[in-house]
Amino acid sequence: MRMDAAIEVRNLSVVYRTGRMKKKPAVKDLSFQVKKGEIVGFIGPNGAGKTSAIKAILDFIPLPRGTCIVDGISSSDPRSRQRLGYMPEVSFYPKYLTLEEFLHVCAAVSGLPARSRQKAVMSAAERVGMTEHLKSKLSTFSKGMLQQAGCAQALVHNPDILILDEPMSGLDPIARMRMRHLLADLRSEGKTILFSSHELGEIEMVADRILLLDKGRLIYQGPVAEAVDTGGNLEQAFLRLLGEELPWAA
Amino acid sequence: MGSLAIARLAIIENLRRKEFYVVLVLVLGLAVWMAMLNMGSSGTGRFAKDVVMQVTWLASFALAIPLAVRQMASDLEHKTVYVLASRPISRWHYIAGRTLGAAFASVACFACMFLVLVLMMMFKGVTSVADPGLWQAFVLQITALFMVCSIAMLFSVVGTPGAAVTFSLLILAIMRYGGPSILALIAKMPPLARILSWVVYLTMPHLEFFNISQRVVHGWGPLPLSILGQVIVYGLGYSFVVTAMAAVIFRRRWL
Amino acid sequence: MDRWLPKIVIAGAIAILIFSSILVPRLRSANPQDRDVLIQVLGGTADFAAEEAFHEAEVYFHAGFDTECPDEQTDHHVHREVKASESVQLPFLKAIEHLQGEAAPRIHKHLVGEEEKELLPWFIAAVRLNPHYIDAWRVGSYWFYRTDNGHRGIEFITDGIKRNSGDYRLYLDRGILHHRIKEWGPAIEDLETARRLWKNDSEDSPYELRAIGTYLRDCRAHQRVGS
Repeated sequence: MRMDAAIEVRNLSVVYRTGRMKKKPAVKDLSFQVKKGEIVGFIGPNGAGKTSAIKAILDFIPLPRGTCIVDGISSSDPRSRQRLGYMPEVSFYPKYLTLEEFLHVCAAVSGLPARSRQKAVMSAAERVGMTEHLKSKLSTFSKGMLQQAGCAQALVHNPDILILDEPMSGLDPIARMRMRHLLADLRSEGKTILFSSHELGEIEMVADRILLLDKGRLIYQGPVAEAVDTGGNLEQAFLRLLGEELPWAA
Repeated sequence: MGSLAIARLAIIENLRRKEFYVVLVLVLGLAVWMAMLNMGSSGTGRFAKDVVMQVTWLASFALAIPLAVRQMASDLEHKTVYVLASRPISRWHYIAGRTLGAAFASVACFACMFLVLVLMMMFKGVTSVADPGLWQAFVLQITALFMVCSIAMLFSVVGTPGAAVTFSLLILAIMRYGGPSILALIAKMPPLARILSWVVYLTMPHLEFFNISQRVVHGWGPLPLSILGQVIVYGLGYSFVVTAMAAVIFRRRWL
Repeated sequence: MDRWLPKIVIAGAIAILIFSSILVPRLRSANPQDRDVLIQVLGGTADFAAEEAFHEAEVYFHAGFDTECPDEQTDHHVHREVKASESVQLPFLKAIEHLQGEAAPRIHKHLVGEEEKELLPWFIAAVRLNPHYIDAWRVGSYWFYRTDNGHRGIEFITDGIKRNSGDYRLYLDRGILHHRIKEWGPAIEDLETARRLWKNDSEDSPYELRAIGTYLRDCRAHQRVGS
């Protein structure tokens, strides 16, 4: 693995069993790298295999074909997630806990010593603008607030690598702007971010590179500027890159 | 540390649910009723003790099994497992944490019910807090709760929540109350069936060791400490092995 | 209305509870033949529970030791320890038997004196679960007589007669209890009723018919002598 790669995926294939003899390939022979300190946008149409690839990186899909290496450690080793923070797409969290309790649990499970947990919790809540909601139960949160809580739990242990799955989903414009600034701050701190989103406008504003998946295969990877160079904006570039396979593309 | 943090999460979640309080109120009501019981004779000491102990013990199992099964089912259904599984913990830590959390929450509920039970029996004048047999029964029931939670967790990893609850209750009923009779049954089988049955019998959890309520009710005195120690070691060891099995199976599960 | 609705519901529930607690006992005392609604709902399970309660009385008499007593006569206890398995040879199975044995009492002994009263709640439970459980009435009345006094035993079995007025065995046992406390008149009355109800078919024991005759002669003899 290259030393400057925070995440490296080599020849990853993920196949789901949909019936007794039926299989559905979700990811086919995928290979890419995410260098340290860069923000990479992971895009593709629905069912392209983005979430499956992320799950393989996080070892939610154990023993897939291929290799996933995070921070120089194989993804099957829990230590690979020591410096990794993950924000899931679906924002369901233990509803009987308050935000503060939840962040404390996350910090503890991440291995933070007890004496530094309170500070880490306050810092994470402050970063996502949820300080005043620390004592509120997660069951009372709106969708947007849950997204922010999800971001806080991903940041509580100050990870170097972040994987964010649809971080902008459900956020109002102010919260989106806050998220964009947060991502920019994280990049300036040298964090590595891989984030998947359907909000191509947001990716265009924030990401350094994009990885475009379709039907489990990587069909484009490169700087955002290069992708939109002749296409106008990222959305048009996205459609253009996929358009040759789609008969109705303009 | 990761397992303990997950266990703490499980305890908080379960104690904030309402079911525990409903069961506690029911047990309290039963204890009050038993304390006022007048069965037309003065010989109600053992009877009251027996009935309330059995109900309390059964209620603790009835709480523990769904509670343990719900840990996994709820996490997978609501995808809250992702938040924990994305941290630097192995699947073993996750399963151990969830099992421990369910067990501790069950023990907390049982301890409250046991307190009610002891107060009722002291009111009836049929026991005192100095009775070592009573405390041995308490400790053994706690160990049994650990076993039951680990078994329920194993079933919840391999099957649906409904099936997990059903099979856990079935094993509990068979072994707790029928354990001593099964050996006699096996002895009457033909040789091949007998060998297979022995193997199954040995791997089943011998919950009948942990039920010394009859000793307490009839005043047979406490267990010898060596026996108590052996049984506790067996119970905790069995719980560990079953939890490890659940972790091995869960390791291969796609989240 | 929304504010008041929970209060109305709670008040209604309390009112129903109070009303039921007054009404239900009156209905039950008016119809002693009827079983509790709960027991009717339990159906066959209640009968099974009644048998288990009766069995528990036996276990309690043996201070928790679960025994088989093939000899029906209580004056001649023929007990044998119920062994889990007599053909078990393997050491680990012996160890299991040993640990099982430690959990429950395994030594044969009986309750004595005041302790015998511990049996009584189980007879009461048995007949409450199944008011037609004749053996429970009979054996229970004996133990009430033995542990409390004869009148308590008679009171118990009278309750059984109210619910099973056609069964000669209850009249026989009440007659025997009257005989034991030297109430000759009531004893004769009950024994004659028992004889009248006894039917010459396979279910009614000819030995008990003989016992009715024996007790009747004894009661009449005592009555004539005036003792």
